[in-house]
Amino acid sequence: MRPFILAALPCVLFACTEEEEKAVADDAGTSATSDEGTTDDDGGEGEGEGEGEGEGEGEGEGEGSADLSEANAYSAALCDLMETEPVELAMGASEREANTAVIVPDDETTWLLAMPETGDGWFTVEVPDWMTIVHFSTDGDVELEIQGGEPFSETLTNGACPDAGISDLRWAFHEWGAYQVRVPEGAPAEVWFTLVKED
Amino acid sequence: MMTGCSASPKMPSTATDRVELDLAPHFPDFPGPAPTVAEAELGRLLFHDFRLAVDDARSCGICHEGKKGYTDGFVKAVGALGDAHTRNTLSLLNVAWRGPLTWVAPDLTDLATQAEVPLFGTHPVEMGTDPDTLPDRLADIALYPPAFSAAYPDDADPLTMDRVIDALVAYERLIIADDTPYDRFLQGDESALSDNARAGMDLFFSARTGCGTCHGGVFFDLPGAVDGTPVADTPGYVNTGMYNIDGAGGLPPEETGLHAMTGDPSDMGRFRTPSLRGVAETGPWGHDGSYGALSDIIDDYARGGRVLVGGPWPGDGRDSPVKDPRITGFSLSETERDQLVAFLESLTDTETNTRPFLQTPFCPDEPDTGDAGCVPVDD
Repeated sequence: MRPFILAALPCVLFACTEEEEKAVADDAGTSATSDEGTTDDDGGEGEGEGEGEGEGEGEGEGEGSADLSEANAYSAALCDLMETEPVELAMGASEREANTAVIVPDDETTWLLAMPETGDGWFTVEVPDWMTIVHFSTDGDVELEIQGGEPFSETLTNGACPDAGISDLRWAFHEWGAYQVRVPEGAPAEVWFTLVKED
Repeated sequence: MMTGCSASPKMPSTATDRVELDLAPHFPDFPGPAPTVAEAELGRLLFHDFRLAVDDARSCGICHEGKKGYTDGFVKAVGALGDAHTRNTLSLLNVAWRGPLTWVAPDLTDLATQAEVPLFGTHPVEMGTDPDTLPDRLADIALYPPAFSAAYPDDADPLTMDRVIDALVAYERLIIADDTPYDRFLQGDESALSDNARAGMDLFFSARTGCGTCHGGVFFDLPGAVDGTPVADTPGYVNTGMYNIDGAGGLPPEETGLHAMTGDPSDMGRFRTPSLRGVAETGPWGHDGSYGALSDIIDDYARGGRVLVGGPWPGDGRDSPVKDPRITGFSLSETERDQLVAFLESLTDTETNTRPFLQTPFCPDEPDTGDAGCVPVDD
C-alpha cells in the first residue's frame, strides 16, 4: 500500500518528540491535540472522544479559536459553505442503518441531516484517502461520535464566522474506508453538517 | 497450491512456462489454460501499480485488497476523482470461475471486457486511466518493456493496451481461495470446522433456513437444492427484501438491480447472488454495502426481509411484492445465528492473501523497511 503522507505529520498518528509535538500543535493552531489523541487506530476506540470536552473551550472567546481562524485555511471555506443550499438526508435510526445514509467528503456540499424520531441518528462517512484529516463541521451544540480514527483537534467554534456558531472538529483517519457516526438523541430535528477533507 | 511462480518480481527464466495449479479436488477444473509465469508476473506489476490511475494514487490492488477479501471496505466505492459509486465492490476471490461478473449484468462474463470498466469508465470515474497514453507511459518505465516482451514473446509490439488488460486478467485469475476450513473438512479433516461452524453448516444446508437454495455449489452462488447441490449452472438474481420504499417493492432509484437493465418491473431489486467464499472479509455487504454485519443479514433473512425505520429509504422489505418467494423467514435463536456466522467465517482461505505471487511487488514509500527484493517505484 502506498500511503499518502501529509505535509505536517500529526503526532496523534505518529510518535513525535516533545519538540515535534509542540511544532505540530503550533502549526495546527491548537495546543490540545496530544491530550485526546492517544487512542489506537482501530475502529471504535476513539469513539466519542472528540466531543464534550472540547465544547466549552471552543465557544469563540478562547485563544484556541482565534488561533485556529488564522492558521486554518479551511475555517473560512467552511463558513462559505453555509451559503450553499444543503442536501437533505435522513439519518439511519440505528447502527445497522448507518450505511443507508452515506456521505463522502467534498468541498462544495452541505447537508441537512434529519434526526430519526426514534432516538439516535446514524450515518456513514466514506474517507477516500489514507492519513487524512477531515473537518466535521456542524451546528455548534451538536455532538458527533465518530467510530474509528481519532481526534486531531478539540471541537472548536469556527472563528472565521463566530456568529454562525458552527463547530469545527478535525478528525484523523489512518486508513481509507467507511466510518460510522452517531448523533445522540436530543440533537435538533435537522442538523446542518458539512464534511471537508484536507488536501 | 501453486508452483512455478516466483515471489520475486524479477522476470524468471522460464517465462513461458504455465503456472501449475493444484486445486482442491472438489473444485471445478481451472477454466482455460493457466497463465504463463511471465504473464502472471506482469499482471502482478500492473495490478499493484498506482501509475495506472489518473491521479497516480490508485491501483487495482488498492480497491481489491487482499486483506479485505479482494474488496475495498467501502459501503460504496469511491473513484479516483472522488466520485461516489452506487454499488459495493465485489470480491475477486475465485473470479476465474465467476461467470457474470457484476451485480446486474448477466451477459458480462468476460474479465477483459469487465476490466475496461474500472480502468476507463467515466460514469463514474473509477481509475480514470487514459487508454491512449498509458502504453506510452508504461514504455517509459524501465521495468515494463522487458516484462511485456517476456509475457508476450510472439508479439512484435507487445506493449499495448490489450496486453495490459490480458496481463491483469492473467493475474486476477490466480486469486484462488480453495483451502478454507470448510474445504479441508470436505476433504476429510473433521477437526477443520469448529463445533459452532459445523452446527452452522448444518443450519445453512437445512430446509429451515434454505440458505443453500440460493447459495449452492462450490462457490455458494448457484441456485441449489437444500443441501446446496446446484440445480443451475448460472447464478440467480434475487430480490431479498432489502427495500420497499413505496409499498410496491421499490428500491433507491440510483440502483434498482436487474430492472435497470431490462426495464421489467418484476426485475426490481434483483441482484446477482454473490459468492460466499471469503465473505467474512468482504464487508460491508449487499449490493450497496448497506449491511455492516453478517449477523444483520442473517437476522433479516430470518425476518423475511429488512425493515428500515430511518435513513433515506425507510420501508418494510418483508412486504415487498417483488421479493423472491424463497425469502419467507424462519425461526432462529441467537446461538444458531452465531453458528451460521461461524460457518460463514469458515469459508475464508487465510492463505490466499499471504501467497507471495499475489503480493504487491513494489517497495513501500517508507525507507528502511527491510523489504529486500521489492521493486522501487521508478518515477
